This record gives sequence, C-alpha cells and structure tokens, in this order.
Amino acid sequence: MSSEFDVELSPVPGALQRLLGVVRRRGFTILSLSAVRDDTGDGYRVAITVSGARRALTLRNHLANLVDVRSVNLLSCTQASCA
Amino acid sequence: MNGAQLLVSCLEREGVEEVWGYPGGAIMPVYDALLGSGIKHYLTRHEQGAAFAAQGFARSTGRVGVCMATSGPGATNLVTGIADAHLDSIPLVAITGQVPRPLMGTDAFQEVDIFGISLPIVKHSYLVEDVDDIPAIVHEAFELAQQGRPGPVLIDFPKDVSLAKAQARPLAKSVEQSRPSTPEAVSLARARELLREAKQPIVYAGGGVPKAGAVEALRDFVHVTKIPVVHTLQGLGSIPGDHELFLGMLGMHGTKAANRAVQECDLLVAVGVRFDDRATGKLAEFAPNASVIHMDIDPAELSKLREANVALRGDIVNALGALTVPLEIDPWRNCCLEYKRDGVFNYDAPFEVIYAPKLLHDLAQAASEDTYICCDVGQHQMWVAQHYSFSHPSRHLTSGGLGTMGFGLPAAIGVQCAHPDATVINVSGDGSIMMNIQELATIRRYNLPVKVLLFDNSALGMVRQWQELFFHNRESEVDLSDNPDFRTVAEAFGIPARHVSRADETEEAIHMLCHEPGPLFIHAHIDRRANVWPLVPPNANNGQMMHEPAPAQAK
Ligand SMILES: Cc1ncc(C[n+]2csc(CCOP(=O)(O)OP(=O)(O)O)c2C)c(N)n1
Ligand SMILES: [Mg+2]
Repeated sequence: MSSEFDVELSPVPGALQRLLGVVRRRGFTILSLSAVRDDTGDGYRVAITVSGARRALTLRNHLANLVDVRSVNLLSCTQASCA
Repeated sequence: MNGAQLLVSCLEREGVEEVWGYPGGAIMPVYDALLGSGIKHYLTRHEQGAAFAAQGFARSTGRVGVCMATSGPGATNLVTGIADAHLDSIPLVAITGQVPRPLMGTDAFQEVDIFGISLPIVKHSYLVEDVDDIPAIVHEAFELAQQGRPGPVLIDFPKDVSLAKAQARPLAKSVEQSRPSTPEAVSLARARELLREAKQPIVYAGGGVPKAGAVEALRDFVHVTKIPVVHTLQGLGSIPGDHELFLGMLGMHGTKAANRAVQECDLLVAVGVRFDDRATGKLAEFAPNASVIHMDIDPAELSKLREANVALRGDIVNALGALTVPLEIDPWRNCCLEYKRDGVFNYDAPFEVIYAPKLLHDLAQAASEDTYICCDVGQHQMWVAQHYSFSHPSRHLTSGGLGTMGFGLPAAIGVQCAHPDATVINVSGDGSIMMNIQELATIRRYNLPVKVLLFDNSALGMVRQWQELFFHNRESEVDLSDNPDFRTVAEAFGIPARHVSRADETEEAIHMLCHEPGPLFIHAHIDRRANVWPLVPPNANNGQMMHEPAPAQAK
C-alpha cells in the first residue's frame, strides 16, 4: 500500500535526516524520493512515496509535528483509512 | 559579551534559576560565564544524573529543566536522560559543548555528532552556527520544550561560537502561552452523543492530563458524570487514589477491577493517553466492545494504535468541560464498585519479613499529601504504583516510557532543589540504586534532605520474576547477593543510614522518612521471592490476569 506526500522543509541542517528518520522509524519504506531546493532557495520541496502497513494519516501527523516541516500534504493513498 | 555570556543571559531571561551539569573542555566558556550569573549550577557526579535532576525539576514544577554537559562523552552521557524525557513528554533543554567549527567533521578530540545521535529522541535540536543566533535559538528552544506536547530540545554549542564576540542581546521571555485550540464543535457534539448513549463508560486517563493542566477539569468531569476511572502509570493521582470512583491502574500490573471494567466497557473516554502496550495488553483484544472518544493535544496520537470513533484534538480542559454532563449509569457504576471491593489488596503480611506493598501502603497513610515519590524501575516501581495512594500526579515521578533504572535518585535531587522544604523520597531497588549511586555525593554536597527507601531483594527482581514465570524459573544474571553493604556505602557518602529487615521495624522507618530533617538512607531487606501481582502475561489481553497463588501452593 503506497502513499505519496508533498513536503515543504526549512533549509536547515538536519531537516532531511529528520524527515527520513521519521519515515523509517514509523515503519515505512521509501519507494521514491526527490528533494529539490526551491527556486527562492528558501526551502526544500520533497516528493516522497512510501509503502507500509501502518496508517499513512498517522505518518502525515508525525511529519507535521517536525519543527522543520512547513507543510505536508498526503497527495494519494491506497489505504482504506484514507478514503 | 561573548557567545557563552550571551547564552547564560538568555537563560536568565527565560527565568532559569538552576541548572544541573558537568563541565569539560568544549563547554568551559559557558562554565566561566556561569560564575557571577544569577543561575545556580548544581554539579552532579555523572551527566546522566544531571539530565534526570533537570527532569525531576521539570516533572515536579511543570517548568523547563535545564542540563548541560561537555562535548563527546559528556554529551553521550546525557542521551538516556534525553530519551527518557522524549518518551514521557518532559520539557527539557539540554545544552552540549561542541568542538570548534573548524574541527567539526575531522574526528577531533571529544567530537561526537550529538546532533545526529539525538535526532530520534528530541522534539527539536539546534547547532549554533552564528553567535548572534543565540537569543532566537534559546527563546525558541524554551517555547518548543513546553508548547503543545512537551519534550526535550538540544542545543549543541561549538566552542568557537561560545568565544565569539556577540552583538545580539537576549529576547524578552514570552508572556503567557496561548492555550491550544478547542476541539471542533461537531466532534464535541458527536462525543456528547456517544456519552449519552453509553451504558458502561470508563475514563482511561494518563499523563496528558496533568501536562494539559487538566487535573481539576478531569475531577469535575468525574464528579458530575460519575464515570469510574482507571489511570495509566503517568496519570496516577489525577483522580486521587482514595476516590470512590478510582478503580486503580490498568494494564500489565493494573488492578483486577480496572482491567475488568475496561474489558467490559462500551465506551472508553481516553484522556491524554497513547494506548501504550503496558496499558493495553494485547491491543487487538483491548476493550473489545468499546467505542472510543480520544482527547489529546498531539494529532499523531489520535488513532495511532486504536481507531477513535471521535477524535478530540486540542485542549483537554475545554474538551472535558464541554462533555461534563450528568449521566444515568447507576447499574454500571455499582457493578464497577463491586469489582473494586472484590479486588482489594490484602496487606496481611504472611511472615515477619518486610512486605514492600504494606510498607508503601503505610507510608502513604503517614506521609503528608505533598510528599514527592521518585521511583526507580522494577518491582518496587510497580508496588509504588499499586500501593501508594497519590493525591496529585506531580507527586509521583516515575520513568514510564523508557523505564530507566537509575532515574529515581537524581530525579529526587531535582525535585528537592525545586522544593527545598518538601519531603522527597526516592524508592529504589538494589539494582537501580547502583546505576546512579554516585549522586549520593550530590545530596551531601548541597545538603539536600533527600530520603532513599531502598528495597533490597538481592536481585534484579522484575527480571527474576519474569524468568520464574515465563522462562521456567531459569535464572540468568539476576542474582545480586553480593551487593555491597548499602548502609556502609551511604555512610561513606556522609548520608545517615539505617538497616531494617523485620516487619516490626517499618513503623519507625516510616516515621523517620517523613520527619527526619536531613538526608536519610533506609536499607530495607525484603524477600527475594516476592512477586508483583496481579500480572497480565505477555501476548495476553487484560482480561487474562494471573493472580498470586494461594499460600498453600506458593513455593
Ligand atoms: C537502564 C536499564 N537497564 C535494564 C533494565 C531492565 N530491567 C527492568 S527492571 C530490572 C530489575 C531492576 O532491579 P531492582 O532495581 O533491584 O528492582 P526490583 O525489580 O528488584 O525491585 C531490569 C534489569 C532497565 N529497565 N533499565
Ligand atoms: Mg532488586
């Protein structure tokens, strides 16, 4: 079951590690990942698709709790709980 | 003003009056700046002691605790205390010295990437790269540590930044924090409906209640709705231990009444809890017939482990207030009270030896309501939870999430520093006390009247109990029969000590714990074979409790 997130990160040291750390610790596997410094240099734009048996909505909330995460959107999700 | 002096001024501006720490090379500029500042520094004898003392301060006051250490080993020695604060949501700011920036990443002397090491166990962390960022970082660190769901924040402070000349000045401390948002009206309406429909509701309340300042709101809610209550380890005292509707702690070492009522309830009002496995037992079979109203400030907790029928995200005080309406649940309440009567603990000690549950029960009767109990981890910790009756959760300090042996003694130090006139008792075990025994020197140095009540069963009792029950009594590395003479150890640190081993000696020991003006170490010898009952075995549901075998069958 895969879920696709669009995340905006502050451009500070450790922001990407925090994001990836939460994904791993909370039991998800990364299927695809791209992180680009946005045009203004003001942050990172991360597109990440993960798979895992746990609730994608809970992962979204865990990510949103990170101070360096400015916004997180769950773009698509194949889990029943997302319906 | 250099960076270190600016950091110390910023701490003062945040209202910090005491910190716990241990100096070393990379943090020397900060220690220099502490001289002559308004901040009192307590030197512990291990950095872990500093982290737990800061936690003791934080847990007993609700304010941010501050600890500091040097780079490398100093920083890694803080890690357990930071992780413990993370799992129990304790507001902590940990400040570590770091090697100068030009040396970072070169495997310099005492260089360790504490920022990286601590990423999974902090709410947030900073590496100070510009001296003029210090005011904003310190200010934000204190806000984050206590805002919303509290937690630890790390500030890693390179030595060259601490010596650099600073232009910036401290920022003003924020005035009153804004309250979290009230849960949505539609959700509250739905929750009210569930409450009205419920015939067998139970309140399941945890550490989020005191953290949200919701103890009074919960008491009002229970007073009006008359719903029976169970607590998690961290919730104990929210509803006073002697309250009629309090059924006890739930979970692995919970009471028969609490677990039975939860398994049978049709509505679980979950308040500031996280459905931890020690509380729920086998999750899939936890409260199998119940709908769930879950209130929490952290959206990530809602439906994390158990789907909530109604999730109330935000301020628990407002949520409880909006749901405080009388209910008609007399038959169920009477049934729960019957369960409670049926399961009362028996304090008739069978032998002349000291029976820890009875000693703790008697201590609770004798001690004043504002006595602080700081536990270590093991059987003695569970006996405290079961047999000591708490009047308020801030009086019970216990490492719940991480379950860290060695927590209790330094935590008691932090509590005593914050409450010089209070009675503060560390209830410890012969295994746990040795994890931070060096802090007896801290007690001596600052003349803190901390009391230690050590239950010595010559064993890592909790592990021994599990080996007995679940590993065919094959004891592996749990024997502590070669313990040092604890009385002599305490006395060597300059702490008056007493040894007690007979039941008829406990009354005097309790009196001394409650009334001695100075520090005291009571070494209580107890039966090695004593177990914590009842118990939910691993992979069982909370309805499948094991109970103490009748004396005739007991070994
Ligand atoms: C730092 C740490 N190491 C190991 C454990 C695992 N553990 C849990 S309880 C326990 C035994 C504790 O012994 P003691 O302090 O004597 O308490 P008792 O159970 O005998 O009352 C152990 C080893 C732990 N919780 N913490
Ligand atoms: Mg022991």
